[in-house]
Amino acid sequence: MKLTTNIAFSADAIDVTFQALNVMLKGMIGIFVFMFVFYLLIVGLRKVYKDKERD
Amino acid sequence: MDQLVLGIANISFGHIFMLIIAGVMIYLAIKKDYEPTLLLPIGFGTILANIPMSSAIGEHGVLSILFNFGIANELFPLLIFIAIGAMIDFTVLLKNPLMLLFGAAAQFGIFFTVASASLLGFSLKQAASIGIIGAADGPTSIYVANHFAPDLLGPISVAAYSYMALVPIIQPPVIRMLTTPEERKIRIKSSNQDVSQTVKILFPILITVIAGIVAPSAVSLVGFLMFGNLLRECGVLERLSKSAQNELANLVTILLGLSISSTMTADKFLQPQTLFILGLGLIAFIFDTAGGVLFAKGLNLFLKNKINPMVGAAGISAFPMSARVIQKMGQKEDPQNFLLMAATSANVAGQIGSVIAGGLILALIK
Repeated sequence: MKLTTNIAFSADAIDVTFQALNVMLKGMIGIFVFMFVFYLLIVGLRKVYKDKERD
Repeated sequence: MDQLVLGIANISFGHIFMLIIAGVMIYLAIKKDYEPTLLLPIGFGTILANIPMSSAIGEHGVLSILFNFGIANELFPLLIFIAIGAMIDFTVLLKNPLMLLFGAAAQFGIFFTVASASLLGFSLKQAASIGIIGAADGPTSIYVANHFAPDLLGPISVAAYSYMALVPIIQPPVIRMLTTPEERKIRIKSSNQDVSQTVKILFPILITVIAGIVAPSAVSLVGFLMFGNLLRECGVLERLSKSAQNELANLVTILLGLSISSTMTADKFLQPQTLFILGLGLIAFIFDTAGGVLFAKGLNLFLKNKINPMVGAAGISAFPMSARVIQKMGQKEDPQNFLLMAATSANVAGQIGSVIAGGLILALIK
């Protein structure tokens, strides 16, 4: 009985898995880049506004 | 007379089974306190949807109307994000911004599950909808699943909310397996420096702009979350902030739960796929936890002040449950170790991470 779009572990399923691994690689890199940028943003904001509010 | 027995005449094994499932959801919500705000409306709605010849579903059924009004166009999950944003205090994260990285690492389970589901034969879009259960964030799961595989929305929502409630049971064994008692005793010095109001106001605005420019498909998710947070932090809209946290959250939660239940019909839910989805959802949570812990261990190789790797597991979005689990586990190893602050920072980062992960999946899979 075919439960899903492709048969499990079939050539088609493996083909889709490679696409998924590509998404995994890009997704994990993307999310780390985002978070690193947000990290820099917070560090930068805290540096700028701590000083200004002291004045 | 025939009209009066129409319901009885049309009752099937599927209806009975779904009514039992509804009963289990209501039991778990009331007796076990497992995400009652969602499981109870879904459970009761499942009863409404599975009464034979139910007038609650179908073209003119109220549940179907609610579904088309609020889920099919993704309105309800986004409104919930305003409420969540208004409830989150990002101050702990602004004090410990390094914890943002755990909010990224602990999304690993999402992507691992996408690959696993693909191997089991699901299409890439179905696999992505299943993987997003690992966001440990109900609205993101609903948003992405509705985008890619609306037919799977029922089991995906049930899995997402059930596993979120089961975080105290799922996470500890995975963490114990991947850490040594010495690692679990590591103390973390959290920053107690004050964060200015200006930073708290600029943070949600700039995050929305940056995320929106880089990944426009994420802008609704991130934007509504951050709008809610801006209501909280701006200092001049306390009334709206309170409304978002209470009235809006409560109303939309009721409607969201009932709307999802319109997909909980026997023909859609009682499929072998549902078992796969429940199993894969569990895998997503396990690998989220493992991703966070292992990343923390890797980071410790380069850090002078080591981080307790258990904190990495709090990088999932299940807030504040995951942070509490870590605090409890830390105190079990060393009663004087207070990890709550660091774990809460990672947990809040996980809220951002899950939304970004949802946006990236929408952007990467066409």
